[in-house]
Amino acid sequence: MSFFGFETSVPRDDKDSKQAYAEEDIAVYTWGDASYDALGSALEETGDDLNDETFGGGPVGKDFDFSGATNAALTNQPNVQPSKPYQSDLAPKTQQNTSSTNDLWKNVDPSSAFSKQVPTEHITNPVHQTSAAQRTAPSVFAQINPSVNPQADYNITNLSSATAALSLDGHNEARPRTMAEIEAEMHAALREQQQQQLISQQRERERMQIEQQLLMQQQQRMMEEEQLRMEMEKRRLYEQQALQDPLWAIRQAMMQENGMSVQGPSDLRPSLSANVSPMTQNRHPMSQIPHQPHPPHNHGAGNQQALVNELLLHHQRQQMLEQQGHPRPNYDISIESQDAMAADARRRMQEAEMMEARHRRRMAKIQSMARYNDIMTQSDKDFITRVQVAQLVTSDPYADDFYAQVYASIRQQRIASENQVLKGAPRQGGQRGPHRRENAIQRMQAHVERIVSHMKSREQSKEASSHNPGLQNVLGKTSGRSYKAAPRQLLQVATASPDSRAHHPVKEHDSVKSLDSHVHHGDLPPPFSPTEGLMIIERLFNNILEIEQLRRNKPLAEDEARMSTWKQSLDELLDTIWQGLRVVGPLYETNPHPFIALIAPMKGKRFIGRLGRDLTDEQKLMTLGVIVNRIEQLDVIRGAAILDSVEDSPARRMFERQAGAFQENVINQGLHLSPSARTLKTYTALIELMIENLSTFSRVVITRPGLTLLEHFFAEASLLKHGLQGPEGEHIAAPAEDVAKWSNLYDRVFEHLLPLWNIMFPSTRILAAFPPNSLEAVQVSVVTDGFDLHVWRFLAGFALEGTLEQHSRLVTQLRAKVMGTLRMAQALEEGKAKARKIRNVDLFLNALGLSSTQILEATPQIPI
Amino acid sequence: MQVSGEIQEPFDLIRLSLSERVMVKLRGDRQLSGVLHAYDGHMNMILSDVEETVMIVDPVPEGVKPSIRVAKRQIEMLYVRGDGVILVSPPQRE
Repeated sequence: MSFFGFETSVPRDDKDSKQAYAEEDIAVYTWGDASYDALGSALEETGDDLNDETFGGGPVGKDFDFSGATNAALTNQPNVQPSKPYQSDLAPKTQQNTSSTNDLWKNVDPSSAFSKQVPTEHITNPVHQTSAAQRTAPSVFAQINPSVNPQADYNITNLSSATAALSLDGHNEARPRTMAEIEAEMHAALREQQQQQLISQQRERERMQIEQQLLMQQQQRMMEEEQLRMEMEKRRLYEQQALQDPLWAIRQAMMQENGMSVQGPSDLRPSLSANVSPMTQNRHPMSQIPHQPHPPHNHGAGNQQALVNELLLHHQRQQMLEQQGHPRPNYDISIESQDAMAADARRRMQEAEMMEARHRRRMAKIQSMARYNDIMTQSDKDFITRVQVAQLVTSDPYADDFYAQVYASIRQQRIASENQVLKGAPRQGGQRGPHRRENAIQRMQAHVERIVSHMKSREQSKEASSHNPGLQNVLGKTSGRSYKAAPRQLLQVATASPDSRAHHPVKEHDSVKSLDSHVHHGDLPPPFSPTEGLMIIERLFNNILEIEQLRRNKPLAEDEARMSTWKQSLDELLDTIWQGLRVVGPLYETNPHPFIALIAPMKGKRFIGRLGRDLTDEQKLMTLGVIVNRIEQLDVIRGAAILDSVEDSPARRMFERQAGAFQENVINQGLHLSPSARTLKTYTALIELMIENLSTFSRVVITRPGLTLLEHFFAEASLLKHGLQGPEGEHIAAPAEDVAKWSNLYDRVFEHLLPLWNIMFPSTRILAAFPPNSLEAVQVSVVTDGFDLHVWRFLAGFALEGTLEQHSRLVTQLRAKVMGTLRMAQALEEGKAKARKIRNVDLFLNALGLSSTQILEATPQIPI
Repeated sequence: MQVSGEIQEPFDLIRLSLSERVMVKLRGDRQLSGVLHAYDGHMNMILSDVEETVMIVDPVPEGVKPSIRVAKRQIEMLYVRGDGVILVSPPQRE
C-alpha cells in the first residue's frame, strides 16, 4: 500500500542486500524488523558513570582560558612587556594567523561589504595589519593565547592534532579547528568591520578637509554641518564602544595614530554622502558632555573637539582669504581663536542636537501614525473620494454654497490687492514659497478638480454616445458600472431649469383663484392666488440674487466690450424685476392691485426694502402712486381694525409686525426717494392723490398705518417747505408757486381732518364700548394711551404748520379730548401711566404754545 | 400666469412658505401654528411665534363617551424635529 504515493514495499531479497550492506561496512539499521537486536534498550540512560568516556578525563587544556589569553595579548605589546622574548616572538605569528584567517573568513562571507577592501589593506599596509591585530588582542575571544602557558598548549596540541595545527600554523585549512578558534575569528572579523568603518569615516573626514579647500563659499556652510554631523556620529560610536569596553578608547587612540599614516590620495572610498546620510544611520541621543577625555597634545583625529575647531577656523580663514583674493591658506592655529572656535562649535553642536531631537520626534510621530498605514484599500479611498466629490458637485454652486462663495470672492479681492502691493514694491530676496499647508490645499483642490472634470467628461461621453441609441453597445458593453454601483434613486430631485417646465409635477389650481377675496372685495377678481404671489416673490428674490452676483463679477472699467454686455445684462435683470413687480398696468382690473398683492406677505415687503437702491426715482414715484391710489387695498389698512382692541393675540402681533415692515421696508427703505427727487411738489402731489377720494381718505386716515403714511409725507413736505441745505451749506428756498400750492393743500387737508380728529384716536373708538368715566374705562385708557401716541404726535406736527385761526379751531374741536384725558390723569395716582397721559396732551398743547400745567392749575378738579 | 416653473419638487411648496405662517400637524395629536424660518430635507423646522395645540383624550371607563381636552401653549421660538411632522400647510383661510 502506498500511503504517500511512493514505493514502500521492501525489496524481496532483503537478506542478501543486508549482507551486502554489511560487507560494505556501512551501518545498517533494522528497527521494526524481526531481527531487531534491542540495542536501544540497552543504553545507559540514568547514571553519569560514563561521563569520563564522553568528555574525557585527561588534563584540561587552556583553550578556553580567554582572560588569560587577553592578558597575554596585552602583554604581547613590546613596550609593555619587553622582558619576555619568546612571547614577543610568538605574538607576530599569531597575529599573522588571525589576519589571514580573517581574510579567509571575509572572503567566504558574501554579505560583508568590506570583504574586498580588507585584503588590499592588509597587503598594502603592513603597519595597519599589525595594528588590526593589536586591536583585537584585548578582546577575550580574540585569539587563542599560547603565551601564558605554552606548555599546556602544546599538550593540547599533542592530544588533538587539529588544535595544535591551527595554533602553530593557521594556514592549514584542511585541519579542523576548535570552536574557540572559530568564535575568535568571527569576533575578530566583527571588530575588524567596525574598525574599518571608523577608519573609513575618519578618512572621509580628512578627505573632506582637502576637498573643502576647493569648495565655493556657499557650500562651505553645508559642508561644515555635514562634517559636524559626521563628527557626532563618530563620537557616538566612540562612546558606545567606550561604554562596552573600557580599554577600547586606548586602543582607538593607538589605532588612529597608526591609521593616520594610511590615508592617501589613492583612497577609493564611497562618497561622503553615501556614508553619512543622517537618515540611514541609526542614531542615538548624544550627551552634551564630552565622554572621552582627550589629551590636548593629541592633534590626531582622536581629539574631535580640536579637529572641529581646526575645521571651523579653517573655514573662516578660507572665507577671509577668498574675499581678499588669496589662493590658499596654510594651517596655523592660534590658541585664542581655537577657544573661540570651540565655543562656536559647541553651540553648533547643540543646534545640531536640537535638530536631531526634532527630527526624532517627527520620525516617532510618523512611526506612530504608520500603524494605520494601508488599512484602507485603494478602492476604499476611491469610494470616500467619490462620496466627498458628490457632496461638492452641484448644479448651482452659487445658491447651494452662498456663504462660501461670498467668502471666496472677498478673499480673492484681498489677495488681488495684496498682490498689487507686492508688485508695486521691488521683490526682496526673502520671499518664501507657499506654505506647506497651502501646498496641501492646492494639491487637494487640483485633485478634486481633476476628479470633477473626469466625471463631467464621462457624463458628456455618455450623453454623446446616447445620441445614437441604435448603435449603443453593439460592440459590447463599454460601461464599467453595473446597476449595483448606481442604486435606484429614491427621490428624483430635479434641478430647477427654465426649460424643464414641461413636466412640472404641481398643477395650478384654478379653484384657489376664485375662492379668495373675490366675494369680499367687490366684483374684481384677484390678480393671482396667494401661492402664485409667493412664487412671484421667490422669482424676484432669485433675480435680485442674480443681480448681486453680477455686481460681484463686475468687469474692469477698461474692458469696454465686456462692460457693455455686463451693463446690458444688469439692465435686463432690473427690467425683469420691474416687470415682475407689476406696478405698471391697469389700476382697476383686479382687486387688490397686483403690486399691492405682492407686498401683502412679509417677504414682499422685505423684498421692496432690499430692492431699494435698484429702483429709479421715477419707478419709486410710480410705485408710491400706486400705493396711495389703491391704499385701501393694502393689507395693513384693510386689517387695521384688529388694532382697535386692547386684547393681545398672535394675529394682532402679526399685524403689528406687518405694519412696521410696511412703514420701514417699503416706505422708508424701498421707496425712499433720492435727494434730487425729494421736492415739495412731489409730496404735495402725493398728499393730493391721497385726499382725492375723501371717503377713502377718512377711512384710511383713522388707521394707524394710514396716518403714519400721511405723517411721513407731511413731515417731508413741511421740511421741504422751509427750503433745503445746498451742498455748500447755502439755503435753497422752495419755489414760491410750490409753497403756495402747499399752503392751499394744507388748508384743504385741515378742513378734511378737522371732523376726524376725535375719531382718529384709537382710545376714542375703544373706550366707546365702556361706560364713560367708569373705573374700567380709566384702566383701559392706560393701555390705549400707547395707541394714541402717534395721533398726538401727528396732531402736534400738523398744528405747527397752521395759522392762529386754525389753532383755535383745533382747540375747540379737541377740547373734549384734551380735558377728558387730563381728567383721567387726575384720577390716576402719580406714576408712569399718569405721566404718559399728561405727556401725550402736552405734545399737542406745546405745539400751540400752551401747557397742560396751565389747565391743571386753573382747574384742580376738571368737571365732567 | 406661469408660475409652475418655480415648483419642481414638494419642498418648493414649503419654500414658498418661508417667513410665512404655517400650520404643522404633528404625531401625538399635536398641531403647531407659527412662522416658518427654516427647514431641511428631514422636515426639521424652525418656527417662531408658535402656538402649540395638544389634544388630550382622557382615559374613561368603557361605554362612556371619551372627553377630549385641548391644551394650548405659546412658544416664542421652536425647533421641530422632522420625524414627527405629518403635514405642513398654509394657515386655514378665514
